[in-house]
Amino acid sequence: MTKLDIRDLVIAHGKNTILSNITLADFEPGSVIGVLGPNGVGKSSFLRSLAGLAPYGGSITYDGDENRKLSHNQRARKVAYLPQTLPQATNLVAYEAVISACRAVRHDLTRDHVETLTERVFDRLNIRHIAFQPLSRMSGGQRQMVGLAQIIVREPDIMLLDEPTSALDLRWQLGVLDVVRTLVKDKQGLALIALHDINLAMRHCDSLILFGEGGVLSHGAPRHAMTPEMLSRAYHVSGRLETCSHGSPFVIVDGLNTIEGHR
Amino acid sequence: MKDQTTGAAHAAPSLSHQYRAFVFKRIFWLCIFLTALIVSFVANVITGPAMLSFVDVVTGILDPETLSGAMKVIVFDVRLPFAVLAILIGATLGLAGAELQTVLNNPLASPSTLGIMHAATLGASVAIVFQLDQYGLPENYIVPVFAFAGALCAIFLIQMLAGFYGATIDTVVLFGIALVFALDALVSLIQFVADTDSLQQIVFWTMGSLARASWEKIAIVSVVFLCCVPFSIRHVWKMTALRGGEDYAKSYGVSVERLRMLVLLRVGVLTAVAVSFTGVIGFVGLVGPHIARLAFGEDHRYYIPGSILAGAFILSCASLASKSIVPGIMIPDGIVTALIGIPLFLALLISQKRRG
Repeated sequence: MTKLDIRDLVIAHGKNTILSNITLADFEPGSVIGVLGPNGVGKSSFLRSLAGLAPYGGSITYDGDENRKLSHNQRARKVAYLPQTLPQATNLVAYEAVISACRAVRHDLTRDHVETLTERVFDRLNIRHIAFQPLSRMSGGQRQMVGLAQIIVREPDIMLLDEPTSALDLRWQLGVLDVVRTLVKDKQGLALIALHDINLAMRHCDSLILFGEGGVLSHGAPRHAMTPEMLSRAYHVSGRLETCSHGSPFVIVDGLNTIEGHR
Repeated sequence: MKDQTTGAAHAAPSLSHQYRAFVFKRIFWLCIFLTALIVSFVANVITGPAMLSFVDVVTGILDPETLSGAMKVIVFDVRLPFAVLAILIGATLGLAGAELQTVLNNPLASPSTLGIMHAATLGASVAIVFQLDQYGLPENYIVPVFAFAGALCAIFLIQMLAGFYGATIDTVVLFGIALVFALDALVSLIQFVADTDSLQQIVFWTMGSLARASWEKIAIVSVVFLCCVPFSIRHVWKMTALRGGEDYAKSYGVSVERLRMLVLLRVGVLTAVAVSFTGVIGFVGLVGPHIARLAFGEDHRYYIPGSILAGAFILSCASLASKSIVPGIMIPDGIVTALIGIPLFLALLISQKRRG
């Protein structure tokens, strides 16, 4: 299990600092962490920094090794990042896209091993029916599933998923998050998932990181991180935290924020 | 998610089994392309003003003693070098175009996009106008050497600027376009001051021709081509991964900018050596990869050999057409490839559009 440690993280776009003073450590192995916050708060930039694709100040370490000092390949062996954008609509078929993602990183694996891993991923995600379909002829949701398969096939310790369900319908959203959860638990790894759907995050994540006001507003179990006050501060809406008949917490939004101090 | 389909998954053949059949189809098409290339090569060798039959040519190649002195010269010093160089240059431009389209993520990219062909034209124009063959340099090689030097300068400039400002797609394409315009202006300036003979030579050079084919030129192009191919093979997985998108490739551990710099260098050298001996031959590097993409998809293990074969086939057919359209006159290959290439390219675009 790779240990992630974030200290005094600062993320800026040019001279514009968007996130600062972020310290997050001691992530529970086997946990799924929801990354939430309003548009433009820096969720994607945060994940891109963790993936080594965006510059940052402060420190991000994997097993004590500073992220920016790791080579692309060293990082890719531990961390897999799913971008917000969908895989390009190319003439690659899904199966080729997935094995190329695996072969580009895992030079140590034999062809048979790669094919076994690939087959398992297509089964897990229930996408065998599109295995030999070109990406150019797939729907957005199908391409998103292929992108996810490209991540999962590498069996990373840490998954960084930027809105992995943005193009999926309800059934596939739940399915994808269940698969990610199972993988993370089995491997005792870690998944950080940027999501816009608060209730999806509340239901599927072990803890939440809520960004707002240029930093982390709250971090912890969903019920404690997503309070009405935090909802108001992060999204400028008034809402309530309720409990459904199955005992799961969920958020009901009543309307736009009326608390002037938080505008 | 798996639970819902467990039964179906067990009933279906394994994906790796289906993949074998899928790969077999691609290899089958590669064999078809190779056969077509061999046919065009044979047609190229047996076609020409000297009336030699197929049997005469084949027997002559297998046993040169069966040919008379003049026929031996025609077969071994004219037709064979011409046909072999057509295949080699086509293969070289096909490879260069395929790799360039991937690293620039642009199906309209071709070896002329980066200004390398224009730089070669400038080098050749300088050698022709300033009559540098007067200074003791071998006459046959002075224009190719200067064309190659011009192309190398363009590669060096692009590498330097990309290294300084970052080898992003936008940077490379914008530098390439700027270079094309600047070099065009310089070539025009040289043409403006050139005398009539030199002007004619420059114009002929820009039309592209395989007519000056020789075994020495074939050896040089072969060495460069064979030196570049192993690097292309080495990068097939990374290049395939790059087709999913730059961010995806980076997340797989591919150093995209480094890969792009290496590929640009490779493409530059391949283009430089090809055009320095033949002049400007367009469309092969654009259309070859398009045909390969339609036939083999974009897994670079098949797309790259497919582009090489398609490029070689197009130029082989173009060179055959160049000497067959008007008997006794060899139309420059650059003109024929453009005339064949434009309708072919449009047909491909329309068929792609129809396929959605």
